[in-house]
Amino acid sequence: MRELSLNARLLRFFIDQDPGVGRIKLAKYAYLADLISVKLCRQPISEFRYIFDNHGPFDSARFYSALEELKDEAFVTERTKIKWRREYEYTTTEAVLDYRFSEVEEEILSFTVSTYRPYTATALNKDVVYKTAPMLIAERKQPVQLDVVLKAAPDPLDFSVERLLAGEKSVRLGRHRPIEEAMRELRAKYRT
Amino acid sequence: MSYALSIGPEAEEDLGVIVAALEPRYRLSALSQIMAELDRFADDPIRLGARSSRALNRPTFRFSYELEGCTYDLAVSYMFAPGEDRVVITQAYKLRL
Repeated sequence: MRELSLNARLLRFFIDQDPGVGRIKLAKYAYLADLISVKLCRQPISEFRYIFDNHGPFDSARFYSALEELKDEAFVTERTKIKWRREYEYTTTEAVLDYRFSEVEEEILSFTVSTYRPYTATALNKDVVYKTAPMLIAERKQPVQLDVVLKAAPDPLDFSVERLLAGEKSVRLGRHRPIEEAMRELRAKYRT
Repeated sequence: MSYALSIGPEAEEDLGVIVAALEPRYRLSALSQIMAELDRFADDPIRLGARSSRALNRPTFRFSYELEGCTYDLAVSYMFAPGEDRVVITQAYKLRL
């Protein structure tokens, strides 16, 4: 069995979390997760390079190649439905895959699916994807610049996913103390 | 309903960094205002907190304090300690303009 690419693992993760997901939505999940990651961690998770395609941001070559990998290696099954046009739905097989995402990446990917799963593919595209900052300034058939969401230099006082997860881990391990104690110490530090 | 309020080590460090970024003469005033806001939050976290998509849907309390006419916006993420009437702050951060 060959090693799956990062993009294939990413798509498999989405299919795992939203069984029966269609092709369009899958592509939008990838774009949104990358955008969130750029915003929070200053870099995307996947290796997709988005172009403003017919139906929004898409990297058709890499996307289809990742899907082919998943099908070839039997990590997903594809079902075709014919409605007014041909539609593809994906579900995972029982094959076990080690996703090898970092804790932060996994958090962002899960957040993306849990936040956007309720949308139809059309609404997700129209109401969410097309309203993201990169798409508002993108031009058809041109690259979509995810880094427009980056503010100037990173600020250590901003929200940080790494620190959030570390903070939650500490609290789950019982490492916390009454706020009065902590504030008393801080006050004492600045009083001197 | 009022809850006891605790803070984790990372969030404690965050608050320290946030306050240390201020001119020394403003630090104590900032700390007092932050504490007053956190006390207000602990009195009714269910009403005052909300899930924030900006913080990956974590429960978040946003508040402000003022120093010489300038408003500073902060937020804290928190968790409810299981089985306890206690809220624990997991991260404190600055809200950008």
